[in-house]
Amino acid sequence: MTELLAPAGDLNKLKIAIIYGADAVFIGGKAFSLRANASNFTTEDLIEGCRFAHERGKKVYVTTNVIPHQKDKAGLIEYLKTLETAKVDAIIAASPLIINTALAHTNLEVHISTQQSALNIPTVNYWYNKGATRVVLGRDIDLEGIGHITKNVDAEIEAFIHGGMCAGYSGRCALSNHLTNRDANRGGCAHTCRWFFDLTKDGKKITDTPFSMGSKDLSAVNEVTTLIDMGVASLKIEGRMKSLHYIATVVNTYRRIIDEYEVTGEIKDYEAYAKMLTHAENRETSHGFFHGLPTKDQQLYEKRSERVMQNFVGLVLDYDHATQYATVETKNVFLLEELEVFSPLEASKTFMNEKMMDSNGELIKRAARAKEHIKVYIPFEVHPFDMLRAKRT
Amino acid sequence: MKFITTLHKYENLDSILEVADGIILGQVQFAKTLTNDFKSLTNDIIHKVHHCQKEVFLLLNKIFTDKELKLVKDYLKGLPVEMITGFIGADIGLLSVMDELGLTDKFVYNPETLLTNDVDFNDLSSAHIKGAFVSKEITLEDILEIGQLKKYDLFYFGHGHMSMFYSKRQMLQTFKDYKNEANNLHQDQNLRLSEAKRLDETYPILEDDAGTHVFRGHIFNSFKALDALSSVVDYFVVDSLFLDDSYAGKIILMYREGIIDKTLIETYKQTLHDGFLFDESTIKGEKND
Repeated sequence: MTELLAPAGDLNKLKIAIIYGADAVFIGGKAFSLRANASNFTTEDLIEGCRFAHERGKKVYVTTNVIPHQKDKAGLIEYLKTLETAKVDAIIAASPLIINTALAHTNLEVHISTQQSALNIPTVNYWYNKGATRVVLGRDIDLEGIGHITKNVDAEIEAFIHGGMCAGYSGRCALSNHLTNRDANRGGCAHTCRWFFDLTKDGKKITDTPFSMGSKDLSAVNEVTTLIDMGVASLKIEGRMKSLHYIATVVNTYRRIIDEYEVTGEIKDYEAYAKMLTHAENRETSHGFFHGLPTKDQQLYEKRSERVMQNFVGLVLDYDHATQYATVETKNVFLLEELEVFSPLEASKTFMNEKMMDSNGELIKRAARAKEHIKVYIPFEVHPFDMLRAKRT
Repeated sequence: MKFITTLHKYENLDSILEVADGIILGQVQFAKTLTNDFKSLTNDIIHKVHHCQKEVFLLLNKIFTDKELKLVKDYLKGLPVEMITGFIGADIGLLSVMDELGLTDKFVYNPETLLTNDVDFNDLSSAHIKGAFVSKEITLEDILEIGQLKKYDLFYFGHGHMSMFYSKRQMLQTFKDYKNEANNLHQDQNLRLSEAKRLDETYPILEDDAGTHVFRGHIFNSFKALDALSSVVDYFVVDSLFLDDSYAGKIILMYREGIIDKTLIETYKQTLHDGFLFDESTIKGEKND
């Protein structure tokens, strides 16, 4: 069965990812991980995250995908042993230093990070023969290439299906290092490829349109079934920095696609799934390299901001059947207005929010502040971790 | 420490070989960011360099698909490989091609950014390759430490426009398509990017068949580190991309003699930089932000 692999920047996101349908999550610890700006997991969170996942038959992978300098070597064995003790299922690594150390000193499974840009069979076999069980392919490859590799190697193949794309070969980019002094291969990527530049020839500006190297995000709604048929072991969603709502929305969309395909052997309405994804805050998306070398339609020009939708207004903490009031943690401002309950378990339902109370039991017309616990009257059963959405454009 | 460099014009080969210990060649189908593709002259150059008892390295520095790896293998079969000192590759998958052709001991691994510590640098020692390039993004202190622990030849990018970015995407083509214009910028070596907050430097951008590449505008140099480097570096590379053969020849002489000719730098209107030799990049950019 094909694994759906989701990102989780902290323990709450890990739980949301699993509840909303991920088979496995990848997380960063406090060391040796790219995405230095993600919250990342303490040892206690790691243990709790692994326990939560394993109780539900799910897996936890820890990214240890930095490219270490000489001074970064200290503490590696101890750190990997901590991951092993926490019962982490695998590490995702790019550096032979980390890979070799994990294989020599722990029983951790090793997955090769996309930072190694594996785009051919010999590269996959090189890492497999070294002891890795899985190789995450580079994102710079078409579907035919993915299928060819997957069918001709013993290693498990993991492929990205959704999220941000490096404009260049991952791991080989030093734009951020040079232009901002932030080391991309040690967690400091400043996404310099998304900046705007003037393009000049012989010292003269040749266009008024800003040049950018930025790529649209990847979205593989239409390609997932092909990847499943090819035997790709794991389908990966990128985005450890993304919000709870983004993770829930994207994970649940792909969960439903995979489940429908496994049960019926077909997808009846791709458009419906593409529409589900639009609820998530996102940059524009495209199919990346799946159908060949990217064209202008896969690049981002004159745009660089994500849409900030603020449609995720509350997270359900519990539900009182007697009073039909749900306890809700507020996320964004909402009013007495139509709300949608987004649930991992069933189809979304809407209701008119007619009554809600603050923590003192006073009726309110506006939930104004985030992270407050309020009561919302919902005329049907809802469950912890269900999300309330408001219509926002 | 040997000095090797790239070549722009066939007619300059003799003068380059007077100062350099070897040259680096490549064919556009299998290499990126070439100064020139000598096509049918490639074999002549290899013979000539070999005859002069100098060294010749062949660039195979693209990231390859399986189809391309097969083409690489066929290409190598047509070359006088016994006269070639080394094959510089960025893709670890090339090792299998080298192995099949009995050329593993000539493989030089250059993943550009990835060999930043001694374990990673030496990781192919059991395969008995010729050598590897240390990352351009580490300090002199780290290079020296790696050099003291090296298990094969240490190659070092020592002078030239430093590569910062390599994409498979044809980004000038897509930009021109976006503008609904014909692309007349492919392989153009006179293009620069400039950024509003960094007006003191413009960045060369080059689109070739391998993809799109961006470089530092200022010239990376190793003059201040030369003495220390000479104790660990086996091959010092002067890359003359966006420059010319005359410049490369003069620069190599300057390194050999340890004397900086300021008039050369002024003639080419160059600003020099030391990369990360003395100033390590950080995770959050505290030093420069």
